Amino acid sequence: MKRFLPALVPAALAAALFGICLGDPYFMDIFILTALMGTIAVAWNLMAGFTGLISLGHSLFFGIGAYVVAYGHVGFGLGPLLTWPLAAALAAAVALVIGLLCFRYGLRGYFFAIATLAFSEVAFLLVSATPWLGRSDGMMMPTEDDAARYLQFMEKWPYGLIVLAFLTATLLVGQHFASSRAGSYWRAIRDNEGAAEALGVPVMRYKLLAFVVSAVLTAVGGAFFASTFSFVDPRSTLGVDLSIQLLVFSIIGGLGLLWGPLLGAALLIPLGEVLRTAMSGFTGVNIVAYSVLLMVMALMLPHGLGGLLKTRLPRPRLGARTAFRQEDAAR
Amino acid sequence: MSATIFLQALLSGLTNGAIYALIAVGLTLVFGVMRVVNFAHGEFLMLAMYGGYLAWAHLGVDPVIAVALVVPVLLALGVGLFESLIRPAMKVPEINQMAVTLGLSLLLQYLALMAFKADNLLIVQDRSTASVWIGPVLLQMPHAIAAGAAAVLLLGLYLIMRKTDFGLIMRAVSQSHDGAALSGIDIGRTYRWAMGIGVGTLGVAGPLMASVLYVNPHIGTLFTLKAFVIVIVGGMGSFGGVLLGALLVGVAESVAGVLTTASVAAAVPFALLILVMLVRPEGLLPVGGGARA
Amino acid sequence: MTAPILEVRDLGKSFGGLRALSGVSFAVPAGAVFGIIGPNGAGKTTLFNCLSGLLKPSGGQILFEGRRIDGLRPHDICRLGLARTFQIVRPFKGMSVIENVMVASYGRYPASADAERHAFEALRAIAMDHLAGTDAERLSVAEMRRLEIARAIATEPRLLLLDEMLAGLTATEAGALCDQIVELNRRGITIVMVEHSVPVISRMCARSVVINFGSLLAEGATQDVLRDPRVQDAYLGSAAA
Repeated sequence: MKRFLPALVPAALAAALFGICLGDPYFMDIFILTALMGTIAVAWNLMAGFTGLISLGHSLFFGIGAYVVAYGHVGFGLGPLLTWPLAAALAAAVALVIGLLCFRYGLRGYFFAIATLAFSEVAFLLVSATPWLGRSDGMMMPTEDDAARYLQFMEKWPYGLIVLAFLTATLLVGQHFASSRAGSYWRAIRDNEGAAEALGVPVMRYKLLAFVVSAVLTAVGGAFFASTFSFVDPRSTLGVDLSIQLLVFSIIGGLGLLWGPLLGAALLIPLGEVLRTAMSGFTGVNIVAYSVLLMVMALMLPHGLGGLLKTRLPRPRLGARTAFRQEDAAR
Repeated sequence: MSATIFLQALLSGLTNGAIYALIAVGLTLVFGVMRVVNFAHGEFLMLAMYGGYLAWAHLGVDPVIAVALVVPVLLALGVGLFESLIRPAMKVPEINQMAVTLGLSLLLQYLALMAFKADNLLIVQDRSTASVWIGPVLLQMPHAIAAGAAAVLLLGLYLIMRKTDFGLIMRAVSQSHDGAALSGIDIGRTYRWAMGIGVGTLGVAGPLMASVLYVNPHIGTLFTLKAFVIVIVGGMGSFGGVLLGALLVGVAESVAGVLTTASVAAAVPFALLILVMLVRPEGLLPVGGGARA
Repeated sequence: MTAPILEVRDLGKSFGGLRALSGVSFAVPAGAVFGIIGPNGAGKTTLFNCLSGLLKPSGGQILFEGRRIDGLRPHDICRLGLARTFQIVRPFKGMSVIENVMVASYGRYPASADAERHAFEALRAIAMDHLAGTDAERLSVAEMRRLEIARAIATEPRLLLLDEMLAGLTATEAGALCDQIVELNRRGITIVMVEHSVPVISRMCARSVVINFGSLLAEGATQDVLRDPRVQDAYLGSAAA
């Protein structure tokens, strides 16, 4: 149980925020968006921060999730009970194929990033040209009589509750991997692939594992997006901007921490809302502020705000063997 | 598709390709020398395009002449970029480097949006509608000028890299930082100049492209992506590879534009990248370690 | 002589047109401490990289316990029981000493608690258990070498390849490390060591091979090998001059 603390504490904080936002639909909207983006950023960071694989094409998996749900509904009248698992399975298969292609040739760093970007751009452009997926206009999912089966609610709060569960599950899954053999292998691969391989780490298999886990969680996020807004379009679900946002949240919050990206999202999304409202007369001022913040943080605080916070937190004094466990868990 | 339409697509693909090469060569120079990918490369092109447009709109300067005004500005911007952001960024992990140049890309886009609004602007002159016949196919004058200038500049850069001491130093640093440092090369100075030239070449491309293509604050992203594709397809850090990759991307895009919809044609460069990664992961004309670097 | 644990037959490796190794054949008896000697650039590290699977040989065969391992991936070779250390030691950053070793012990013990226990044993075997909780980046050079060896033995090898493990150590540190290697060998791990220092090789290794310009120059009992005139000419003579 103790090893799941780094997952349970942020989840409890999120639950408290959910409670606070319960009274106000506007706040609940922001909560839903923040929790969704933060959770996907956590999933993204399992690859980037833990394994050293920087994907700039994660919108592909988000889009797969969103479009499987939307098309399943519009085309075949399928509900989330079927389309969510389908979305996850499809994302896993796509990640497996892309991963095999990229890792077989040892694409790393910038090359891997740009390759993933290329895959997501192809998907973006092809979906934008596909009539039965609504082209660039997107797809609206009709309201059904049997609303609950399609996760169609009048109120906002049920969506908040679902995203809270998604957030908690993602943190638990992430912590499970991070504090076990997979996490150990991931970090070894990130630091020195050759040495890891010589020590018996099956590098290919564990890179694929990170990619597939991350893609599946991201696709579930996309599926949630479609079910919540009953609308998908290429720009908001498959665009590069989405992928870049995940990187931004992780950098600001702290790449080395499971909950770092969540912290980044929790700070930036509400801040963006405030800036947008406060400076409604000046288009783009919020993004200017945002980008300057990103550059400064990336240069000055390589471990993000989470890293700063973590070093300030008083750590209980324990024996060496227990202490390393704590650190392992917190990472 | 008739032969004439095909030839027309081929020609416009080749002229586009020449311009792409001019844009991509700066990116590959910077990457070759300092192993940093500048995600804001296209935004500097966007600034150069605005520079050309403003010189024409407010001072009545012909875009060909405006090149002489814009190049020094871009060169200075490149050096400034190195000193302010890239030099410190070289000390942080790759992912933070990405965040820095991605942040810069956003910043420049939105500063441009605040300064110039979202309007699409184009330099329109008498010769804009002029064109020349090359056999059965038509080449528009602004395209011809831009492609011609690209060819001249690429040749010039090639000669500089191959024949001068300066080029030798650049190539030495690309090969091995430590080796170059040991032979007494001032690495910092080399970086500064690589960045200056890498961004400076956009000063040639920008004004000329402003009479070919509408400029708006977000146009850079598209070219950054295309430049990435070209550079990887060609083989990172290889001069000839960039040219080959650029022409290939230009032609593939243009031929696909005739055969299918614009959206599918836009996906062609990326599909090409994926294809090349599958069959020749080191790029078409690799230098050294290629994609495994 | 016991059956060979490692047998190299006509091994060759070329990079482009450059031949780094050609026609190298030798056998390592099980239970031995076996030396590989040769001047800089002779191909010793290339040989190790071929043995451990980091490089694919261009020709020849490598047999470990009678089974061909050339062309296998490094992690498979490691799982079979052949581990190595690197000349340039790079611990995994941001991990403590024991976490570094656990990367290796996880291969045999998937559960964290078991992996931790066995990692601790590996650290004790090389007298590093008191540093288990230390941040690996803060270790001294000598301690990093020990960590490198602890990681290798945590994979529970029957054959251990040591690449220039004494480079950069003081005489005292080197002596202590040599004693521990002998102790590891006594516990049943066959050792193959690349070493620059001839005195160390002649003290520790009963049998050795000498490599020069990518080919085998001599093989046999270390004392005989060192007396071989070709060896004296090619390597020791020029080194002494």
